[in-house]
Amino acid sequence: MTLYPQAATLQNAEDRQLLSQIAKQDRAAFEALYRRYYRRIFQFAVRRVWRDDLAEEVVSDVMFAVWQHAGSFEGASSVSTWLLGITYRQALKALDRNRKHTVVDSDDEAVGLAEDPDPGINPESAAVTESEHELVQKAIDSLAEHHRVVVELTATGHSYGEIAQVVGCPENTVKTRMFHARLQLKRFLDEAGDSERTLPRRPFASPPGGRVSIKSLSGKRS
Amino acid sequence: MNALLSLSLMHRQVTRMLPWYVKGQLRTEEVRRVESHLAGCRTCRTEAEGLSKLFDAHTARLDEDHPVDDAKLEALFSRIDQYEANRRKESVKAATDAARSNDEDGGNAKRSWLSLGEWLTPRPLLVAGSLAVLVLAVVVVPTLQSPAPVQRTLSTDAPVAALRIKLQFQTAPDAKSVEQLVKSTVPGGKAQIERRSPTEYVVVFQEKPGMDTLSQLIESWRATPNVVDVAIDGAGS
Repeated sequence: MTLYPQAATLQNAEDRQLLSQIAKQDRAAFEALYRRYYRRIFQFAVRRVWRDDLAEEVVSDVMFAVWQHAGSFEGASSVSTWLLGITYRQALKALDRNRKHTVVDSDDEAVGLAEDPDPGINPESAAVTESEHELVQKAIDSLAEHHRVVVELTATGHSYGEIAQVVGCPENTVKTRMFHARLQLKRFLDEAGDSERTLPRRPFASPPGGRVSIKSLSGKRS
Repeated sequence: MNALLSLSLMHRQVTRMLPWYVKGQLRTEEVRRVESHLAGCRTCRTEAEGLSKLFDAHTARLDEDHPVDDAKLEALFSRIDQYEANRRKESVKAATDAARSNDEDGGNAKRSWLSLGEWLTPRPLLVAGSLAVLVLAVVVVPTLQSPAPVQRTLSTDAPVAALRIKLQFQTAPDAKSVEQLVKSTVPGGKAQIERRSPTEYVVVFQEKPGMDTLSQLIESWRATPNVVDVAIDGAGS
């Protein structure tokens, strides 16, 4: 959701009020903050971990950390940026934990948990029968995590300074990553455009997207 | 030349502002400046269109509804309950341990003093001698010593590390043009150039410029066409 500056300032003031109440163990304030930010935290988490169930765990870990540390929030950033920063770190930890494990479904088929999206996403397979939106989405998915997170946070209206606070690196690094990400996206889309012009139509090389829903842990991504 | 620099500076500024122009998050005057530039710059217009498609595609998939699952919220509250209960137990335990430790120390100290007193009572000469030594050490000896001279040593200045500024280019420039840019802008031309990659050069200053000069240098390099980043080398990437 894009907020104009005045609305963003007002929301941040309300969020800070909620945090100060949570620091006094006010459960109603905690629930209000949870409901306000659940969707945003979940969507950001699922783009990092590619699994709904893992993203739900991340949300729980993030809000638990909020309960523990609400009193130590100093206001150096907005509350939303602070929450996204916690989410980013918790998501990376979740990926790390699960990298050591594999999930075995009822068919005894091991499903590896990948940090990066399906390697089957390439310009050639993406080019065929794709709407423009889907093609651009695949281009974003093809980026490495440290580039993809910068693009996505910019797309949701965050400044370079806020992105630097979320991912924990200098602002110049964020600018450099955005620069490289835009180059790679352009390259992907140019190659997809070339492939569409030269290749005959054929089905996808692999299923699109990298997201696994809780209901379909069957070794396939949907 | 000034008009060219001014145009380059505007182009550079607009390129940076484009994502927020596309998101509709700029102030009115900034929007006017951007649109004035876009009217005459096809590169930026194409870039703005590309960013618009990029952001629309990403935010389209964020529009999927994902409501709060109350069961998960309840599970989180249970986790918090457990955490708070453990904290209270630990707090009580810590307080109990601290109280017990104080009692023991107080009791032990009292017993030690009593036994020392019992041992010293039949030894009056030893007590008198110890007291005399104590008085001498505290009162007499300090007056006999002269203060030691305070020695000061001057530390030699460590050599100042050379100032290194990294120039990042969008496309690989001609090495001679980089050399010309640096020589024409650095005072006295006193700088060396290191080529780190086809698009990355490092300017090593032989003499560190003043802050004002350095700021102006950095701004003018940032405004140069094809330059995408100017940063102190070693600041992280």
